[in-house]
Amino acid sequence: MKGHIAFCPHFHQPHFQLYRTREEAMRHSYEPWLRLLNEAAQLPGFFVNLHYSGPFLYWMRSEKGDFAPQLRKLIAGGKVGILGGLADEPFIQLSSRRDDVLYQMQEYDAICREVLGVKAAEWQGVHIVERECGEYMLYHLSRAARLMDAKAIFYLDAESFYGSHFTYPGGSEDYCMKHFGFKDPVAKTVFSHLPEQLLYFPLRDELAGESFISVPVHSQHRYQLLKRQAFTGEDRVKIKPSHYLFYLKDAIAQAWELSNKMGRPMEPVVVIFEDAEKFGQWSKDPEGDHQWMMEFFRQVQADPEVDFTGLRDYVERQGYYDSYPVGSSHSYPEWENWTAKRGIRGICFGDERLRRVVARLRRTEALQQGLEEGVIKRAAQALPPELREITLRVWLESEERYRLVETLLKQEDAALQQAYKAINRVRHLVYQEDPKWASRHPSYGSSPYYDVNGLAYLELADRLLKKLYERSELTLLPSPLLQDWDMDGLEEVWVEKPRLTLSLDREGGCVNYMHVVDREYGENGKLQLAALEKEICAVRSYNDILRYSSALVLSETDSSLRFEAYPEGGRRELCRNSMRCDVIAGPAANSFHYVNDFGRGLYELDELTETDETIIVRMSHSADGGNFGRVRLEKTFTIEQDKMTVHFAARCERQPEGTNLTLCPQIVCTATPSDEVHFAPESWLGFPAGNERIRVSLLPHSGDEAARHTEEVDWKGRVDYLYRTDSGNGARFYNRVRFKMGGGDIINLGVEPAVRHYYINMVFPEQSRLSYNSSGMMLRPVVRFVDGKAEFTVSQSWQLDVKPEAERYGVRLPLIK
Amino acid sequence: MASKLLLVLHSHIPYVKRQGRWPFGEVWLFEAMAETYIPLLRNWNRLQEEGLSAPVTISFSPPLLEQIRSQYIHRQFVEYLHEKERLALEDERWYVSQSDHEMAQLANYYYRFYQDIRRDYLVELDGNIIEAARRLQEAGQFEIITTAASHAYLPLLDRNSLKYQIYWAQKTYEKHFNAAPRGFWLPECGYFQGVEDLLIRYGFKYFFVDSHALEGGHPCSVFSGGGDEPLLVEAEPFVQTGLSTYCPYKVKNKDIMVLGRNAMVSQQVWSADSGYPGDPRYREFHRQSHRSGYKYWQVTDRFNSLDTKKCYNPEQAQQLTQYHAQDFIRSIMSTGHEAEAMGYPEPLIVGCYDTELFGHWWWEGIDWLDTVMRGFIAEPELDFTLPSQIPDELPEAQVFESSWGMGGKHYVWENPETNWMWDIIRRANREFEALEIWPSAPEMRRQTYRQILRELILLESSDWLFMVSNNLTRDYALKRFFEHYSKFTRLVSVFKSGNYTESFLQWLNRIQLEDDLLDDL
Repeated sequence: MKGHIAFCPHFHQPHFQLYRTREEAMRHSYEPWLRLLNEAAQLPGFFVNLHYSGPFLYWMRSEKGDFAPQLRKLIAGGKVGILGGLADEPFIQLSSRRDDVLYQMQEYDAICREVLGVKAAEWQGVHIVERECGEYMLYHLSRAARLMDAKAIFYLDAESFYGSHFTYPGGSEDYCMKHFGFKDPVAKTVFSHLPEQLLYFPLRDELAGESFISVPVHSQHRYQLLKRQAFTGEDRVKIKPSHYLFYLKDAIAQAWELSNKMGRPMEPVVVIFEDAEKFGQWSKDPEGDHQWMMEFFRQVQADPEVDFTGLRDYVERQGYYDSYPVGSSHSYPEWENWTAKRGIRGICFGDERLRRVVARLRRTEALQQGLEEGVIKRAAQALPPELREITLRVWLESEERYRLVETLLKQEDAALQQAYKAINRVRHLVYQEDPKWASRHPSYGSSPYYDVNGLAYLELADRLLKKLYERSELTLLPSPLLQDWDMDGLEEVWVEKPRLTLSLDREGGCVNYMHVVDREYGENGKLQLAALEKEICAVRSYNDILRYSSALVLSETDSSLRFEAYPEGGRRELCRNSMRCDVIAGPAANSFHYVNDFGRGLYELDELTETDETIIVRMSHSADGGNFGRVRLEKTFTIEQDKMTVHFAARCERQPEGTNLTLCPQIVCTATPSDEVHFAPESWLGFPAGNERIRVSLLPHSGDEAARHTEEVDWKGRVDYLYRTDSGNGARFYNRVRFKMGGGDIINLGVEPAVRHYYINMVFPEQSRLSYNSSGMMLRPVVRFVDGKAEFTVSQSWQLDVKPEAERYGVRLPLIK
Repeated sequence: MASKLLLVLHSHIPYVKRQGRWPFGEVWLFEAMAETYIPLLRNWNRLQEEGLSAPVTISFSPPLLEQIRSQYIHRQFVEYLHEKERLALEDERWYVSQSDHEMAQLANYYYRFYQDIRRDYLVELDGNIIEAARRLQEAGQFEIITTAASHAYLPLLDRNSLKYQIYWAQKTYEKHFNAAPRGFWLPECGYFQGVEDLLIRYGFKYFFVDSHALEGGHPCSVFSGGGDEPLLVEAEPFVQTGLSTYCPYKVKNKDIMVLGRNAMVSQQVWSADSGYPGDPRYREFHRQSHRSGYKYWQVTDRFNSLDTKKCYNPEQAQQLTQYHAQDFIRSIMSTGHEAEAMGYPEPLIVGCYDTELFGHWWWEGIDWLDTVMRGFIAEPELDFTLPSQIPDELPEAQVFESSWGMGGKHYVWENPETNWMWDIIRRANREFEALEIWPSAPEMRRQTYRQILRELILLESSDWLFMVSNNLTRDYALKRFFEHYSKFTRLVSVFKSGNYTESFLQWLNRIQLEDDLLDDL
């Protein structure tokens, strides 16, 4: 018996990863990996299949020039094979465009050739992002691989393969038992099955005639690898290299026995797939991990029953066992809805924040397609009339649409082609997997920050795209003010201006997306293109995009804003958003209570008017307020290019004597400070001194309500939120968001993190508190009802890249200590 | 000052090699290896790797040593483990097909358990349990002792048989551990005045007795075994001596140490009513799957029928072991404080258990024991000790004839159910003593003589008596008892007549293979 081990570590750092995190991984993992591989390469039988993600390779190219030559040397030594993949490590199945898959693979090929000197035809296989796949991805990846002369060999989680299914009388599939309570004696399996133990061989499958080979990955071999340390206090499991080899050989022996029984003996293969960072970075003990790995390599070397193999080398030597069907990945069933299932359908299922990212992408994709249709139509004019329509449709459906459009644009105007390429590049980059995956995995609460960066570029790309319409003399259809832009079944007020993109949601009557762009960058196409070319086309690792393009409202879901059906997860989550407003009664017996649900209720759209510079939106919500009779809250949004004013007006039918009623708007800014170099972010509130006084109560960074700090502050009805960005490229700048408040009797101004509880009680406590560091801040003025009425006005303006001018403020309240 | 725990684990499985597989026979040995010995060694090895020390006194009976070192048992055991894994996977598939995911998970839990046991046995222990124990002894973590050659109940044996039982115990130990044993575990704590002379003669330095053998008073009602229905016997109170198990002694006028088992710490683990293993959330021992033999249920309610048991929850049970371990540690500390108050500044607490209690009888016992050991290490008021660490200068004690069986004396092994067996054992012993052999005798005759002794030693095993008394696997016990006696009888008859026929020699070859205990005889 002989078995083979295809060792496939996966190296990845996402686009926009923090400088310090990358550098730490470099020290703890990537440099130790090089040492390990150089030592292992001395063993005659050693072979490893490495996958470097696209973002990792771009980072190597831009920041770590001496890393690639060492890798190239290893590859030249014949002990290292390279696995191909996609350029941006994206969940590209979320895209609406079928040509994106080929684009991704071609871009990966380009960077892989440049950095590692390996071309697609030499790949040992193709890495699928998070092994998340449905039939759509497998089909398109196989097709793309074929077009690029690469072998469509994928490693997939064992859970992705259809399991054997058996029926017994009285079992769960006995419908007589299920519906009538008696056993159906013929409810027995009659189909022949290939047993699941065959999942240690290459297995062929095809989708719509597109053939591919998949080799299963078993989670136990991932989890057991380098299991040197305890996961929890009670965990005493430690796997030694000899144990690990035992498990591998055990699996091989079982598979070998079965393949003999099946009459087609074949030497089995175990794929060991794992994140490379497990080595050194997760454990923070690269030396201990090194010893473990070398011991394992030596034991394999010394064991005549096993050897290391290249994935493709193995498939070419052994062939495949048989056809075995692949379904959808189910390795992480709780989140595969967002990834294996395609597009907006999956997103709409539950993740509000992620929905907005993809919805924003959809708008850009629609704009891009409009441009492409125009360009293709023009080209098709050269064809006989009877071919024009059909050609247009065929070209639009092509896997290589982007290349076609690039080529046509180049013929028209090279600058147009450059701009088109930049836009396409940005759009792809926003599909990178980490912030999508992390969106549903709160342990990685900071990862959605990568989306904030991606969207900042996308907003520029969107504006540049509109410029391309003008330059191409194409008609840009006006975007209606009222549309269901995030595809949640309700129309929003959607505002697109050169310096502002904004969405007002009727549910909660709030701002659910707000992005601002610097005055010059918002309107100057040359600047937009220059920024994209400099940072995105070159895929620079560190940037200062937030200096001129920044989301002000793109908030996380907050556990306190959920509709719960059952605690295990049957719930609908809402984002915190901005300009929600509660009506609160109390104190009575030292307690407060919410009057109905003005924070989340559905608002009527009473007015929507647009003038040249201003859009006015008025919406209201009326509900039963118990003792207070009918309560009505009206919000009037006045939206200008650089300013938004919101007027809140509430009244109740009656206000019984001795009762208190207050209006509590939630003024949210989700823009956050960032210091990716030193991890010492800074943000603060500045109160210009004035002759009024206000009581401010600040919830500290820790989220500890008991430690809330309250003080009386002199002000003049204005507070500035300043947050600093320190980028890995050395840039340091402050952005400022200004709030002028008035028009009501403000008795307290609460200051809190925008999102206090991301997944409270569902993850480790420290991970559920996003706090100011990563969720931005919320101002909660408390406005008293007088004679059954309360009014309040806030005017919000912003300025990017400002001098902080700390001395101009009478009081500064640091939000992070 | 710290209380000192002297933990004694007594390991024994009757000689079942090639004496049936299932439901009685070799499976007992395999279960003990898989569920107790290997997990136990794993835990102690892990402690050692972590730089922790929890020294324990452990006995391995000669039948156990002879079996687990055999290549036959090694091969059969690995096959047994494979079979267990296969059955678990089949169960898992079955339960999945029935949409019973809770049971399917349990089946997978067993699959992983047995795969890991095979891993540890083959990879960590290199298929050699004895060598692993020896290494732990070298490292000061184990103090390994021995017991009677076939685990015979010594107080009722004739003197010559006693001599064989102790002599061959010593020889077997030396064969396996390359050292002379210092301690002797009296099977069932069965003591009578005079046994210490033989122990001294063969170089032993200490042995263990039950608490009433030293302290007097009422014997503890707990006894080793697994039976649910205790025998009824009038327990005679022993005279109160004023001595205590908190202190080691020398037997009066003899150069050998005697250590008394602490009744309290035994009770907490052994007691069917109040002991930890009876908790409703622990795994039920008696109910098994008719498909695979796996035990998928929890105790639930000891007094209800087996078909009312709830599905076992390993995670919950694991958490419970933590709780019970902490409780045990607290009670040891409290016992220590009481002892201090009684004038024992560094009280010795001798906890004696059958090793197989942990893991085999009490499934979670291995985890419990591990947590107890770690808790002891972390607790400054508590310490471990080994008999070899006890100084020589000790007070003297008169020891009562006794055992840890019900009633405190011999009833469990000598009662109306077993009297006839003792008649046979004693008669066989007399017959053997009447045989004469010279070193120059032909090899065939010497082989026959050796086999007669083997059959006699096997006949004397306390296990058959115990099973008959307790009506546990009585048929198997009687079968084995009769088989050894009939083999003995035929061997003696031919030995006396000198009629070595071809068929006899073939038969001799076969039974030498079957009953190959003590091959150095």
